[in-house]
Amino acid sequence: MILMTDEFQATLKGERGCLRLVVPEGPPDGELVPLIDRTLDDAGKIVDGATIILDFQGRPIPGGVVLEIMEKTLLPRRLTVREWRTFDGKSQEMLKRMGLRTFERDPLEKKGLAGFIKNPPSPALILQRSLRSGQKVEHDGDIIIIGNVNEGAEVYGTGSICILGRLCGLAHAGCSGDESVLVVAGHFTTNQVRIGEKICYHDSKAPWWGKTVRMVVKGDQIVVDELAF
Amino acid sequence: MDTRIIVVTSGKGGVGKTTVTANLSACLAKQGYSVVAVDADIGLRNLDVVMGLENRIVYNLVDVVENACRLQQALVRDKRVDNLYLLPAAQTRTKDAVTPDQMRYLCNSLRGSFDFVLIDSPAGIESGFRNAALCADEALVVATPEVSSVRDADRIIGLLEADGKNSINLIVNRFRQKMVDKGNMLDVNDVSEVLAVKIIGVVPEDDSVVISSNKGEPLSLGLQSPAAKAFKDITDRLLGKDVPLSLPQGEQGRGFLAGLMRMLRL
Ligand SMILES: Nc1ncnc2c1ncn2[C@@H]1O[C@H](COP(=O)(O)OP(=O)(O)OP(=O)(O)O)[C@@H](O)[C@H]1O
Ligand SMILES: [Mg+2]
Repeated sequence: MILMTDEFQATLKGERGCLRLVVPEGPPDGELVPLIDRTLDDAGKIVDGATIILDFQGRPIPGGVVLEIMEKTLLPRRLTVREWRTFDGKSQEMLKRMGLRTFERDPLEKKGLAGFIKNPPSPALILQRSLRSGQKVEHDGDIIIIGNVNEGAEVYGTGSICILGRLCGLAHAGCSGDESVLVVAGHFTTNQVRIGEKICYHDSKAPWWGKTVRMVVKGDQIVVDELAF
Repeated sequence: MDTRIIVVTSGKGGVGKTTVTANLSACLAKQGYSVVAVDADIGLRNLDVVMGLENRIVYNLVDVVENACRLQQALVRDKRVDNLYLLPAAQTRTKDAVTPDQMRYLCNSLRGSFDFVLIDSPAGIESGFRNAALCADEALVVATPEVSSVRDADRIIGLLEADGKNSINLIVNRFRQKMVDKGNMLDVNDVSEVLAVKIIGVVPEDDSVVISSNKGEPLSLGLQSPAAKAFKDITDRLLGKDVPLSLPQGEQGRGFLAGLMRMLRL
């Protein structure tokens, strides 16, 4: 299980055989390099030559800062970055354009194999916050969001997605092609949900609008049922 | 002197940032505080007109950061009320004329000499907005009760939060109760539920705003009107006074999950 909070301190955590450096959202861009440097210094010898995930949470990271981080903190320690992680959609696009790995997921073309070769189960991502417009989460595994997904925010998971609050943005469960997964929303008010390669559209006239719902793929379509406990 | 630097921003254009900056600045000055209203909308300056100070501009913000003049020379003093100043934008330049370092330098020069610095941000999420918000201790996000405006405000709040700003208040502008009653406009509760930040005031749609903008006379210096009252209330709340928000009461929550979310303060 990965627990994410928005504390104001850089922390190192283990994640699937490598180290994840969680960078706080608070400090201004100018303070990032010294902060990362200090955290890696504190960690000592174990990080030398290690493979790490750099997790910037919701903060946008300008290209210049990326370069500075590489030059001043990563290269001197011979670190390999497996993933540059941020929820900021624009930064993700920028990182991808620069050829940096942002998020590992099987490309859709591999879908044919996905049913036969089961990947080892990944830990669920538990996000204790709401996602605002323009923020995006991608995760290889299940995602639980203890918060809202606002309009204009996006969630992509290779597994199931469970949103305790309002779902107004986009959720794409099974985004590598797995259609045995589900989407649960505490308060459903969104126009579109995707599971695997299926898409369904809704509007405020839908009987489940504003309700707590579960969505799964049955046959060749996504079916929605209202949850009552 | 402890200076509060407040950025007024919105994401979406034309929702009332300049109107809010001008009126709150005048209101604060009228209550005896020293205030500078900074027009950070470089290239599209408006604040000078809304404040009625356009005829007296000599230098502007870009001149200051480029050392073409001293800060004191660029500040335009309002003659109608003590301690109210405008730092105008340059009309002939673009947002790129100011770098983050220059903006930081400017804010540091203002800090300590005034009670309040209100920065009128340009629309958008690019460098102009970033510069305007850079040194602000607090943010006032302006939104109208429309889906597109609320979504843009949400985007802006996300960016402000990611920059570590934790004092973010919302002003709902151009509110029309009649339209809400007819189901044609978002209710204030709807807006607050989506944005999950504190609402510091609701300004009604009011012709007096247009009249005062065109006359260049902020409401607190002239007309009495519902909007003038709203700006006075917001000023009082900014100053920490407990002025109850007269929100139209709507449905409070949505069952178990809403309750849980409130408990978790999400
Ligand atoms: N409460 C109100 N009632 C009526 N008219 C209003 C109100 N608030 C703003 N307006 C009008 O809306 C228009 C836009 O306002 P303003 O210039 O303050 O917006 P802005 O957010 O600064 O725009 P920009 O993004 O272009 O800088 C103006 O003509 C103004 O007079
Ligand atoms: Mg303006």
